[in-house]
Amino acid sequence: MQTQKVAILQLTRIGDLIQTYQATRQFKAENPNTHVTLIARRKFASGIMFLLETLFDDIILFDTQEFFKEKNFKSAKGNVSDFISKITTTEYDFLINLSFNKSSSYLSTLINAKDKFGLHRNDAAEIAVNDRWSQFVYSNVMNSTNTPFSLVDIYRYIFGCNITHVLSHDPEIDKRSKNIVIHPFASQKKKRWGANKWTELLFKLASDFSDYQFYIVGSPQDSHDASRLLQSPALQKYSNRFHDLTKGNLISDCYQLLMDSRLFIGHDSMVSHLASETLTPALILSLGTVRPHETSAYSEYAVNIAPKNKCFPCTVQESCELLPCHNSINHQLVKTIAKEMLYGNKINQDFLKAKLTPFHLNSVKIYTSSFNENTGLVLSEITENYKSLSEIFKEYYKVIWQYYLRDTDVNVELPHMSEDTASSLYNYSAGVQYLYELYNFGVKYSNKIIHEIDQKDTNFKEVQDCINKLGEIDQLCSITKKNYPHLTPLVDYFYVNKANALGNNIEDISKHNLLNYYDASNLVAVLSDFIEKSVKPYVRQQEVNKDV
Amino acid sequence: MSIQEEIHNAMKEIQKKINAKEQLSRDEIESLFLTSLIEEEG
Repeated sequence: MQTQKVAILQLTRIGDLIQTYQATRQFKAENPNTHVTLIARRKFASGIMFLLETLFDDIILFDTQEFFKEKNFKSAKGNVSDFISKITTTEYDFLINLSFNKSSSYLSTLINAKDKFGLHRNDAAEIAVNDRWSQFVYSNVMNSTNTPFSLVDIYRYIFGCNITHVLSHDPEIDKRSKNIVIHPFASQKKKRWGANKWTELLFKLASDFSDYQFYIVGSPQDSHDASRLLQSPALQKYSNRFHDLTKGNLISDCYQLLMDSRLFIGHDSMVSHLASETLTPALILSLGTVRPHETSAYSEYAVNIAPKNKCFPCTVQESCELLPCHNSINHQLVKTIAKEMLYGNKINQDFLKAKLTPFHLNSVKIYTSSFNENTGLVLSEITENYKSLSEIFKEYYKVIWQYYLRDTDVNVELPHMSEDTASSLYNYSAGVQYLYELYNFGVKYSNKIIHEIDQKDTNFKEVQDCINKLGEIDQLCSITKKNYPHLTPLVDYFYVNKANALGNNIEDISKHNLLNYYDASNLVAVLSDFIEKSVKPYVRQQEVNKDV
Repeated sequence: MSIQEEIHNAMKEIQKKINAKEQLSRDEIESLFLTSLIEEEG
């Protein structure tokens, strides 16, 4: 069998590169007869070359600053042309662009490949996304906070992987040194606890685990904060057991340290992904804009604590001075869970009931991780909270997208919710009904166009009227999603799918649109069924209460 | 001429073509790639 040449484009940060690495490993396990080339930015990839070189057959790196070494646009342009000439000597069977940014869309367009997945540009430099999972990323992951899948799995789905291939358990974890790796930093203030919280946690852990060493890891930019943390009076007593590894240590040093450590505690970051690669149990604090379902460590040894705050909007662009979500996770809670993990015990509902009080738990969600052999990473909430409206829709979408985009059945229980949530969910029935009718109109007008084009004497005015109607349907869908925001993922997906209709003439495009509206109306019908079944017990209960 | 001015001049023609939905050459897409890198990296 001929070896297939695959190029993977990942131009975003180190964390994304590690997640790409984790997905590609699974792709290669399923497709051993492939030659995989990674194209990445040198500044992100160089630190983890020790990892990337174990997997990729070829790695092509570039650096924007190198393009501009002569400090003028003309020579930079010449350097880019040389770089492009170098990569276009190979024609790839597949190019998979996993970075959804502008530069990658242009680079993807320039690379020679028979088939392109992910963002690229058409002849008029307009954005084009042809494969369905990349359309899902473009419409859902980029704009929504309610994505039910891990990014590693989304990459796997783009690759077309069927089976989850993960690293096996480390049987010698008990023989590792008594080290705890701490990464108390994050790219934004919003995403990281303040120094006081960390000091309190570290003081408690250091006093309870007197035979453990604590390693603070981070980049040189974090070393000032690391020094401040370690110089706090509370930790002076234990200063010989605290080690600052933020002053120019390599990522490979951090990897080696994690290989010989029993626990990682930190924020959702590149280090948490390294912890998953070294099979190190990880306790991850997801604050601010972090979306645990998407970016949590790809590991079954990870426990994730996320605040329950409903701050809206919490976006990367919005600054936040009060940081209420930071106070939702208290250090006693983190310490209690960390202790249990160090003893090698499972974190589950029984543990929470036995060791923690509602005082600790009522402001957080705690997730444990496991792997499903087909769908990949599953985060399960073990705090017995009622599901919020957003979480209920996340579960619905998990089922819907797996069924529609991967032909995979996922079973989830009907959600437990408060009566208020049931009432809000019930209100969504109307929005779902509007959408169902709109998409059915879409089917009707697309059919009309196809029928009219088939006639010998095509009535072009009639065709134009139908095209205008389809435009109105798009506008009405957009209004519906504004009134029913949890329908946004569905509306956006089918909008992007329609915008990328295949075909060069009205008939082909209308046939694509017909299928698009038909599929959309079917999925809306499924959503309607889910809502009806979920609210049914609550509607009955309300009727009983009224009777009483 | 500063780099910003050079970029501005190069982009003016390309932008006209983009607005007119004309087909771009590989050379023009290379320029767009380079300017998008600058945009992303500040």
